[in-house]
Amino acid sequence: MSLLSLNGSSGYALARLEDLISWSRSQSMWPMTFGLACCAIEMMHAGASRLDLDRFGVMFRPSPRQADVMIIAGTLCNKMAPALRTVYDQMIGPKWVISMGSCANGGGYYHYSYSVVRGADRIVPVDVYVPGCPPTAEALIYAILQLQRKILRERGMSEDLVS
Amino acid sequence: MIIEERRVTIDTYFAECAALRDREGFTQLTDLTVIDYLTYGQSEWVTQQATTHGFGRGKLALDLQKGQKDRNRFEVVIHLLNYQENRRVKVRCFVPVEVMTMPSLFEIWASANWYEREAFDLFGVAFDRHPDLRRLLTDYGFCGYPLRKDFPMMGYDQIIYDRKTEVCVHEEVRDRLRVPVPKVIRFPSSPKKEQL
Repeated sequence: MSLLSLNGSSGYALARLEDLISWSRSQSMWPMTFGLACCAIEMMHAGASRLDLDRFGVMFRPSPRQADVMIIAGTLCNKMAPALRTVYDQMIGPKWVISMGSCANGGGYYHYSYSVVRGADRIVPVDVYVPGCPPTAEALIYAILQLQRKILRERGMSEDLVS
Repeated sequence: MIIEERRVTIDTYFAECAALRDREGFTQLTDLTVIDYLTYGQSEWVTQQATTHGFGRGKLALDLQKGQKDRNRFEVVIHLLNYQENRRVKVRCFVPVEVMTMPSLFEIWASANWYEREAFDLFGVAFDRHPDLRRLLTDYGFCGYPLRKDFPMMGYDQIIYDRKTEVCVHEEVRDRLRVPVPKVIRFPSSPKKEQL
């Protein structure tokens, strides 16, 4: 966030409203957990006490209505794809998607399978791809930090906020 | 441990299984699956010696030799356990291809329920007098039986989100089909061998 001016003695700061909005959005990303396979174990590690995603304002939510980031952690099967899209549609905008692991990125090991979606971006738009099989918990945290930077760079209030 | 193996015919299949439970004490059915002998004994992938150029990674699916769909294409295999005597037995029975139906073992062992659903789902073998013969694993409305040897590895359709209608739709797989056999490099590539 770029502060235009900071008056320490009087106790106020000036900033652009859209900067403030994107800053507050980036500091409280509540992910909808979509753990599908072994990547979800690494996602749990990232959320547990050693690495502690709560430090970044990332709190896992069990309901898509309360979430604004979806972490697709694992292999997305054909049978699960409509359910994933439904959950994504139920999330309130603005919303972002992190694709975690090779399977979610492009099918991965199961790319030539008859039952696996060849990339979660065939179903939902993806903001950040995390490579790895599975990615480490640190890699997921790095992706979350990258997504924070991406949200901070977003300019202009999104339409759903104006309306 | 040597597992005893018994081959039975479709006529005696159910009675033999009932006798195995009642007289020989095989109270547990630990597995039921099907073997597809369509391409049994055929080599899909002749491995050549590795070169420094490596291998081509993919190969198109061979045309399966027709005429192999004889009587003995599918075979049901069940594994039984007698845990009082620590004995295991394997029972094999060919499926009659004309009807593709076997008698269900659900009345003998309740655990046959989902094994037979799985076999029906993946091999297309029906089970007579099964209480609930639905697909178990594959997608809703899935076409084909994926573990049959003539099923293409990538399947027939794939799922994608359609932005116009805003639903997930199935579309045809346009990619080329490949042989579902992994490439095995048996010899390490070395310049010396190529010179020879």
